[in-house]
Amino acid sequence: MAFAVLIVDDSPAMRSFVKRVLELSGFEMGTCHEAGNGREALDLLAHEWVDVILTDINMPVMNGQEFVQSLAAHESFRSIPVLVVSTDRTEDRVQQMIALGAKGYVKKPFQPEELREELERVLGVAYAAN
Amino acid sequence: MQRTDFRQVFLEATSEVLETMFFTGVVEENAEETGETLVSAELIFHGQPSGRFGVRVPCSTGRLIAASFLGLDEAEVSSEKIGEVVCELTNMICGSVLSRMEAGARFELMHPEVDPLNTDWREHPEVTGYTFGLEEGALTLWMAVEENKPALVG
Repeated sequence: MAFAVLIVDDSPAMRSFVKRVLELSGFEMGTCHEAGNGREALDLLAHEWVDVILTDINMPVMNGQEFVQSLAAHESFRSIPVLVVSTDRTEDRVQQMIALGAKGYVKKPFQPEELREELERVLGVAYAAN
Repeated sequence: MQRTDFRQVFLEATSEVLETMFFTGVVEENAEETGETLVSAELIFHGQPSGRFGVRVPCSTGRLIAASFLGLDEAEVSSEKIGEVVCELTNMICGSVLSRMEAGARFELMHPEVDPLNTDWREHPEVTGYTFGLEEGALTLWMAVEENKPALVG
């Protein structure tokens, strides 16, 4: 099964990096969508289905915290697993994002295999439950 | 635990970020800038302390780093992409530095931006900066903490 992925980050360079890491790691990625903030991502989700979302926290317009909260509040989106990818390493931030609905958290900088493993864990947990 | 050995903190953070995500590393701890045209990026961070953090590299170094990060040939790397990658480098090193200085403390990092004027970082008050040597060239990092905040002595 190839997974449709949405990468949400205000840095085009980081979006490119994450996409490349996933491609090179052997992760079974189908379509890869990108958005520059949470608002753009919600607009995209209105007409595109994705299997998993990777999101940054610090973004303009709508940050990652607001984005995850919006997903959790939306009947159609709350089942999409979310993996946070952020420079914020504090444990209370990790716990906060998990409490809001994120299924995993990867701290930047990360090893490519670390991202893949966490993504597969998140997907495994999410889709084993359905 | 608060760490105030700025050089060591900067070195550890820079090495971690470069080795993990840029496939390069620090090869010289006391390098000097060469006078080439520079690309600079900086961001504002809020927390305890608050301040500014910046990175600057020669354009040629920025191009090599960006090519490695993006998986492109050097010729494919535009000035815009160099700026984007140096901004992301600034973001990640700053996050790593702050987590080492103030383990467990919450910081909010604003969006990094390229400084087209290449403002001399030494003009900031309460600033600390170092230049490290990479195989690709020199990389300078600086941090300026806000006044009236707890002192972080380098």
